[in-house]
Amino acid sequence: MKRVMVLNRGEIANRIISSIKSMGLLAIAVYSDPDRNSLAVKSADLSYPLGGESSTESYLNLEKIREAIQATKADAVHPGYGFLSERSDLIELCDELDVVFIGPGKEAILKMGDKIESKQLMEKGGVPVVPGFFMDGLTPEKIVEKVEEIGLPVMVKAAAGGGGKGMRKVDQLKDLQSDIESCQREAKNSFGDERIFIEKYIENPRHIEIQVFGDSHGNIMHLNERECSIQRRNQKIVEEAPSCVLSSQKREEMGKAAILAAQLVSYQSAGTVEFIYTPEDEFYFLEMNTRLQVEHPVTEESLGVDLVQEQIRVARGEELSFQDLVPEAHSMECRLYAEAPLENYQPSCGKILKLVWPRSRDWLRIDTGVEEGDEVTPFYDPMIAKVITKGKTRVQAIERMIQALEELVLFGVTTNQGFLLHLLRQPAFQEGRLSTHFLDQHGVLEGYRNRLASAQDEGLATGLAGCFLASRTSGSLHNSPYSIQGLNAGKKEQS
Amino acid sequence: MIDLEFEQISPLKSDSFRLRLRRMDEHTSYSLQLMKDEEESSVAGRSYDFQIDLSDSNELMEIRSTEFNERIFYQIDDDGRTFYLQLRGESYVFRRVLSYDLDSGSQDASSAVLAPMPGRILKVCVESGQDVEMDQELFVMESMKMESSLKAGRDGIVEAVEVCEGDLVQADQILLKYKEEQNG
Repeated sequence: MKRVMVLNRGEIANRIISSIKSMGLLAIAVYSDPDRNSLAVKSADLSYPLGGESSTESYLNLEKIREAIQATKADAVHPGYGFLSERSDLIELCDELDVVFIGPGKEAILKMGDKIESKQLMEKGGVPVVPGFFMDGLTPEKIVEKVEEIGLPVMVKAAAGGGGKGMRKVDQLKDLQSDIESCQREAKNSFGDERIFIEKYIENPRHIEIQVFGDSHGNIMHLNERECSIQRRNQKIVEEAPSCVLSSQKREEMGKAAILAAQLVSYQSAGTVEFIYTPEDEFYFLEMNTRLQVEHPVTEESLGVDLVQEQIRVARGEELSFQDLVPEAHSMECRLYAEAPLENYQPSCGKILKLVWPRSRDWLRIDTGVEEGDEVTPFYDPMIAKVITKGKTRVQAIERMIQALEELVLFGVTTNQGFLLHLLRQPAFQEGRLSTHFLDQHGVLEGYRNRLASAQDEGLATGLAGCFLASRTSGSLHNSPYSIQGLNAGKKEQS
Repeated sequence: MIDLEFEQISPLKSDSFRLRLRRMDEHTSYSLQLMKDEEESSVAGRSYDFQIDLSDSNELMEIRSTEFNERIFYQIDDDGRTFYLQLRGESYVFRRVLSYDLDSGSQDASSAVLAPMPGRILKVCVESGQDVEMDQELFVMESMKMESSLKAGRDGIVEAVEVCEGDLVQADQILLKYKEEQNG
């Protein structure tokens, strides 16, 4: 393996390229038209245009990718996350072209890709899953009986559902029938599949996932957990490792369950087994992501490892090199998104007029794919960067995150920077009282809005005035050589 | 004295508000009044000491007063009206509201004539020390391939003309200053 192609864009392409290069291999980037001057293209040794603007025309276009692999003589591909990372047809293409796919085998991807089948497989294999049942062929009486067995509240879910669609929470038995019917209608209309299942509703769950790693020699290990409970619109925005709620005994239990899950599909490479974690310290299998995860850096920083390098080694047929990993630090990641939290987290686009990263430190890592002057386009995911800190303790990791985010300057595109800072300062967050409903439960968004609205900020008003004065006195600002004598405030005469 | 009108664009949209800025001494001291809905807010009348450090970059200023000490990152868009400020990790966008119209090209009772839009000064019709009357032509400006005449919005004496013929100017750039009146 000498020439590794990265089938992705943005921060993850950049991050993978740096690991490829650090191993002395040739890194090949592919890019769509809007990404032609991206950081990933600049940092790769070689790049190949896929053409097109949308993902479908470019990063998801298997024909273009075939062409790119052949033209650049790539002998391995790394899919990153998203795009084609969990698509078996990419693996088929790699097999056909005799190119190494850096990731799991096709069978594992297919088995874990189907949410219902994977759950059944896990249940049979002994991995704990959320108590529940399929409604198919059951009489209404039998359904009620089973629901009583599980205990209310329950969730009625469309088998084909996702993203919060086709889901109903049922609190009372008398609503069960009508909720099932409306869920069926919604499922039929949205997904063309009216199959329904019912499962236990978990109040205040946490999302805790276990990083696993397998090689081609049958070794599978786990690399501890990541706590990813802070989510907006079902998407993670803050992740950390370790989780402050897990005892070492629980960690071992979950690690074992995750390894078992991976073994059931003979998993190779890096993967993540996601669990729901209840306030009663029970955990249930949710799904397995058969790829590198967005939030993998907190595992890397906490344990001091490079997961991408290990993926490459394992793909070359080597045995797992990780041994006796001991957490070195508490690590936290914040996802900086081009989005307007106050407008329902709507993605924003535009040109990044100014971008100043926080000063570099040994406890700070920034994974990004953009630089000043870049355009945030509507074509792809609006993530600008992942800001990753580590500290001896969780408190220190948070303090450092606040420090880093306060230092970061970005103008031109609305981001969630201020919102993240507001979130990090919530006492409940700092105390580690997390759940996937954290933002709603603690009214974080409303609190943020109120704080901004009530801020009769003297600093801001004077800043605005100062900004105006600066524009009048700074010749270079508008290439104007004229300084206004009477308004020559603030600027110390420099002659 | 300068009256400025702004509206906040982001992260929250706000109604426009006014800042009244008055220079207190020779160098860096200003009094600032913030007015919303015609009512003076809590910062009314207080004095602030601006230290605007522009020595090595155009993007960071430090503002000091007895109440606070802030480092503020800022940038002004090419239109000269959009102000980006970042304070304690929160980015704000403000837009300056220009309250005069293109024909008159100046504000009543203002101490200066500002360019109403970006463009080129084709002609300067007055010089410093000159008495001008309301509606007298001060400049001819070209913008978007159109010529327009900037006229005096009031009677007064020209203290300084700040641009030359042929200059490119930004929206809102000061073109001419009136001599301060006694009551100014």
